[in-house]
Amino acid sequence: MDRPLVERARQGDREAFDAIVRGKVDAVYATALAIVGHEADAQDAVQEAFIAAWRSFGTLRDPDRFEAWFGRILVNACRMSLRRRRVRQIEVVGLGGGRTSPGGVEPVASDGPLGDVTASADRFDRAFARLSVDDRALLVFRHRDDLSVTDIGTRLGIPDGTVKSRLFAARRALERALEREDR
Amino acid sequence: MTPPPTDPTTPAISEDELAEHLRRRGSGTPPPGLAAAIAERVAVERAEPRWRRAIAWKSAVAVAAAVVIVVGAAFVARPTPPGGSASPSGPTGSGSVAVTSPSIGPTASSEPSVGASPSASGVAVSSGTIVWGVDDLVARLAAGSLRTGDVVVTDLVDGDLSPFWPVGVAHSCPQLCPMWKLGSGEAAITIYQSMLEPAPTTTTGRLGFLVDDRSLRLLGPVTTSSDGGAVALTPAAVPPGRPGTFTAVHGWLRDGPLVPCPAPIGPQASGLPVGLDQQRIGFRCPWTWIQPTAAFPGVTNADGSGSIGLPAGGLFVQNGADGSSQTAREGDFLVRPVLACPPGVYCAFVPVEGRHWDLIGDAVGP
Repeated sequence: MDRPLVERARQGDREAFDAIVRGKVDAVYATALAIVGHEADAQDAVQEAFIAAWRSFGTLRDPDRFEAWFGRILVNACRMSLRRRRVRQIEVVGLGGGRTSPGGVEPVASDGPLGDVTASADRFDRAFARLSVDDRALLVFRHRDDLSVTDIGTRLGIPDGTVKSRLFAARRALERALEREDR
Repeated sequence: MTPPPTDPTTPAISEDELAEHLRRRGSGTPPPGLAAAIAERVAVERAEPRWRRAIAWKSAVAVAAAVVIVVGAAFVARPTPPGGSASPSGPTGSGSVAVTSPSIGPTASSEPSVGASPSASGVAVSSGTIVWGVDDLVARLAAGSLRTGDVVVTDLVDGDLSPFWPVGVAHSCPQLCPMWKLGSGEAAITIYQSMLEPAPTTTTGRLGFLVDDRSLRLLGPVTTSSDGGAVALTPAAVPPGRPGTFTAVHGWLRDGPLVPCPAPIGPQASGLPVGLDQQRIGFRCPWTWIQPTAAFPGVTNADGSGSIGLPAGGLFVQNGADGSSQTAREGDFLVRPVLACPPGVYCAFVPVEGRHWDLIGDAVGP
């Protein structure tokens, strides 16, 4: 991130902040979307993260640490966005087995390659949704954004060793969730 | 469908697969107006000085300390009941404070209830009007005495809403949204409509709104009983629901009991109906209902493959709807029918009209 731009924004320069928003919004949105898994929630989280950053720019002491500072804000915004969600996204499966199903739910088979791909994505998304926001953020930062353990640690405010152990735990939690989906 | 065997020594997902799924999840692009919407909000937001945050923090601590002192004093000064002990003994011995959920009023059901107006018979009855007067609503919302997520209903006539632009943006609407003002001067409140929802057919008449901080989000026309109360559910009939409209119902919200659920069949569903903000919602065991009574009707599914009956007159709402639990809760709720999946979306779940409902929230009366 452009240090002078961050410094200007930190001093309350709205144009500088707008420039930061324009430069980062795509990447931030993609990260938020990977974490929360839903467009409306991601949009909400991105908006709230930038607004929170603008409101609290005074707490950023070192402009060089903007990315880590904003990363923490974004993870918090994702957490709040999911907390605000009034209708939980939950799993659904076909029901009935040829018998009357509760509420008249009618399953439709998803045969063919398109169904396979979609089913695989849905299986992963359902399992991923079982993880905490912190676990999701860890996995996204590490496996999607290719951040180093140290960079993840600064974004989440935890030491390197903790990042490693929590990454391991998050991975195991995901695997367990995937296994549950297979039952 | 037989699940693939799993080898405990083999990860359920490889590094590459994990990275690929995460890239897929984050492959969307933000809507074109997002950066502009943020810029507009920033234009009206003021960076909060550090001294102000410090004062707010200290005030919160002071209030919390005061509450602890008052509660403690009340506990110490509590009179001894006849034949009883003044201080409840918990597992840790005398002096500990036992906190229990209050059960308000008797019910015919053996289940505890926490509700606004529990009835002696356990049968839901209307709890009075839920329709707000405009001035009262504006004043209460401006005072911040309504909770985010509550639903309110009011009658509007032509001229009550005055459109304004550019956006006042004191809310978390994800995109640029049509906005209006209700009221005037200091008491005026903002009403907005989410771009993620179909536009309501009207801005006059009996309308439902979602409280969002100190703004209101326009939902659409609401059906109530003739006296302005929520429609009391009865075992004899389910209220008719119409697309694009909401119904205020009075009943008991609860998750279904823990009984064996019907076995899933076939591949995992890939399409779901949507609720507010295009949020996908599901209907699955253990079910969530709004029922005419607190007591749950006989539910059996001994072999785990049979059907679970919908309580007569009950509304089948999305799993884990906000505020639902295994304890029945009486109240007024705003619902709308779930009619179909969005156009162009592969949908493995076909809602049945009159059977599946989207619970929006608790309808709060004046």
